[in-house]
Amino acid sequence: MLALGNGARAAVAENFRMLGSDSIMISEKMGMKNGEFAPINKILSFGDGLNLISAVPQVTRVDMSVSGSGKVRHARSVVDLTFIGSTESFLESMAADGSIQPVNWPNGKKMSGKDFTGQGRFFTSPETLDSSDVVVPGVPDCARPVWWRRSLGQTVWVNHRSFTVIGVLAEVEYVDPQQRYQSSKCQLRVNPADQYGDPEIVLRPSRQYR
Amino acid sequence: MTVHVADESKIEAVKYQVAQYLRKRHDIAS
Repeated sequence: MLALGNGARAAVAENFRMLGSDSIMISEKMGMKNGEFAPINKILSFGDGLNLISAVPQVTRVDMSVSGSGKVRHARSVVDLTFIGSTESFLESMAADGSIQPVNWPNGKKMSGKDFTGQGRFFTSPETLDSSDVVVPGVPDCARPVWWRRSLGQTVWVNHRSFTVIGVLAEVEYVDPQQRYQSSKCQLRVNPADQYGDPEIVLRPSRQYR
Repeated sequence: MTVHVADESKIEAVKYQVAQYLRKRHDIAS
């Protein structure tokens, strides 16, 4: 997200941080608001990023994500989960990051985003743009409901809204054996930044973020 | 948001274009 305000050119420039030779990170501008340190001015939406590719020819990919939590129901099973709303490039970013890999991945073999899809498929950019009601459950492990592995094609309810499971992510592990040793299987997350230890589910962003 | 650019030699120009695009979408004057 990015905050844009008056004197926007300077503000935007301040919020660009070069990550590498071919990528730019845009983050929100923080400041004092009502006595608290918080995001200020305007916030970027998913729509901003999704339309950026067609607006600027040199842009090949825009990675975005949001997170939240809520209840997921499948049949009579209800669980509290962490959600990650992401773009289609989520899996490619995981592959490029290189810190986690599908379980039992051959040493040194190159990974792609598709390798993180255990069953079915990940959602597409058109599905993101159309706010399709599709969902991809995250890594099955001992902390996750038993229906996880056999949910492909079925309907789950996320905060009282129905979604079709179009894919199930592969089980993953840290590439670094030391980290595997330090973290039990139950603590591994699709997103290594997740510190809360909750099960995860990945879904395309809803309209509220656009 | 992370923006990936095809040609790294044009990244400065892309930064400017992205900023212009965002200002236009958010109705912010330059």
